[in-house]
Amino acid sequence: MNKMRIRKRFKVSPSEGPSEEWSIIELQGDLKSHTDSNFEGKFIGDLHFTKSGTPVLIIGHHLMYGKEAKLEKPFALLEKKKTEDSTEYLVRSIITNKIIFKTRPKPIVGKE
Amino acid sequence: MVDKESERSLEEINEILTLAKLNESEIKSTSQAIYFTSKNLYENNYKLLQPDSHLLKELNVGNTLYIKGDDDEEVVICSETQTFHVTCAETSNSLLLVNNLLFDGDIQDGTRTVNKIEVGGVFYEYLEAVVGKPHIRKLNVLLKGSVYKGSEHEFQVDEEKLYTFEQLNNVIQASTKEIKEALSSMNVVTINGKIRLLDFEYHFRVLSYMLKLIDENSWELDEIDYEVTLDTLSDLVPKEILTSLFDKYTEESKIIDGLQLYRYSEFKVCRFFAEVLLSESGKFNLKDFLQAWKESVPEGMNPTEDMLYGVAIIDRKAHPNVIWSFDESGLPDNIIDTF
Repeated sequence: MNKMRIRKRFKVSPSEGPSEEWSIIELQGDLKSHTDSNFEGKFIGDLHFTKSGTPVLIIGHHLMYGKEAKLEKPFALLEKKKTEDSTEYLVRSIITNKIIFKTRPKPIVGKE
Repeated sequence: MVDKESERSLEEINEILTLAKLNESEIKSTSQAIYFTSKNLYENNYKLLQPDSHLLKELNVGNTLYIKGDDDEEVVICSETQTFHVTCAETSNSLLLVNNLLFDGDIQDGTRTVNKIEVGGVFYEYLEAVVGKPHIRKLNVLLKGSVYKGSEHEFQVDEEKLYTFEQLNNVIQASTKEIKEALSSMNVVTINGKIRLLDFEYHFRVLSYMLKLIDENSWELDEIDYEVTLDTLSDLVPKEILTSLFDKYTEESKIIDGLQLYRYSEFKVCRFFAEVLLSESGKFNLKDFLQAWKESVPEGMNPTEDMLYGVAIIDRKAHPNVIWSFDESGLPDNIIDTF
């Protein structure tokens, strides 16, 4: 009975090639669709920066002001890669910056 | 959310800006139209991991790490030298993962343009990894099934319960360095490439043979001859056991006429003999024990109480003072489980 069980050991290694630039847009709450269709390929909204550097996000009828922030603790973005005989995680990027929108959205009136 | 899939045009963007009572002249020249990725938004293979500063260092230099954990175990990430405990954290905000997002500082003044950027995943949770203690108790559990008691007992050993270092490294939730350290503090030898715990009595017998040679050859304590030790005992003990124990118990002392000589580690020898004595009875009168201990070790070695750390408990409130065996390595990894 005391036989060795197959246990999991996954490798985490740096991904090959130039490292990618990934970042995070943090939204308070969640995104909901008008329809029940899934989100894939759908347009979310426009992101602008004011001349003074404040990020502005317009989603549907809502406008939000946000700010750029350095992540207090960076995130590592891992991607699971499965091959036939092994599973491995690649470190795609170390994410250090985000834009966070935590103000209440302002409604935009007159939009069709 | 607008339910359309065509690319955003500058006109559409400006139209909404006007409705929002923002003028094009008030914003920077590049606007970014954010889309969900068209493939695998939900089935993506991405995980966000928040490493502590130690793990971040490992990731930044590009070291390879290993995630280790059985279904019934807490998951850990191991570097070459450290073990990190992984837990899942939730956030009430949604984290949109985007590639090639332009920040304020990235945008140069110029003609108005629209950049399309894609959200590759939405996260409400992430993994946290914090450096912690290795889980090495299982090492003892796995190795206990294949104790080496001498070549005459080998036929009883189940081949499937023998592990190479590599196999142990795959399943023990600790870094390679921590596993090596744990093994070096255990009574293990490598036989045919497999890591084996040495049976206590067999271990004592072989070490006693080796130490007897000091008297028989009238060696000084720091003039132990490796070749003579091996040759003399080669009929009694397999070479792998002798070399393992010699490695474990001796250190280089000096070279005479080009011959490297060794000395037995006083600490290791005395500590092992204390374990042997303590294993023979329950509680010992401390004074009697110290006397018997002194007599058991090779002449010239001085056993002291500080060598007993981690193997024995002394009760100094009892009259007379008593001592008994206590194996620290038998305690659970999790300190709360101790109570």
